[in-house]
Amino acid sequence: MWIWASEKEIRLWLDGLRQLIDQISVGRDSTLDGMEDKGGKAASSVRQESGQEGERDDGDAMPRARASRASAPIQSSLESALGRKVELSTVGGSIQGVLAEVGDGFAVVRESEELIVIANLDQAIYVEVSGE
Amino acid sequence: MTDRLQGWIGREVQAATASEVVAGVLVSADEGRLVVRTSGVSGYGNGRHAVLPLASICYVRLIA
Repeated sequence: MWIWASEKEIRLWLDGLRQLIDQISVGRDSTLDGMEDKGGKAASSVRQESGQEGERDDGDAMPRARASRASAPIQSSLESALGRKVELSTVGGSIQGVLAEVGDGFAVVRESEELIVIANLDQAIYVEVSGE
Repeated sequence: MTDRLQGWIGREVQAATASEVVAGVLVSADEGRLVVRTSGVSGYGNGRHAVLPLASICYVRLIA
């Protein structure tokens, strides 16, 4: 099949596609938020499933980008706190120690000389940085 | 995060999820999952393994 189109028409078509994808992703987010408001584990399991889906499908970069956006505010806050004492609270417990490293979606905290922790920032609830 | 965890393969770790903490020897960290050997190597079997999706892990603590 052959399609004859000018450069302008192709750009318009691509813009339309982009808008459609944005609308779909906004719709998915609002659905998840609505489920979370109602409480329960359903929302978190859906969120986890969507994260795993992104990892399975390497060709689709959108779920990965969404995951990194979720942790981006905490990640950027931590990047300026390297070497300082932090308390990182996650749904699985909290971590206290000196912030040693911040990577894409994770942080390395040294709790003591022997204990090192890698925290998944996508699961972080809040972070507290000491003033020292 | 996966690259960082791969450096801990063979070491004793605690992997925390929202519901529980799994302790054991880190066997692998790839393809979006973490495999932890929760019991010691015995006989021909290689112990019991826990497979955790990386997305559900809150933190991993290196113990030894």
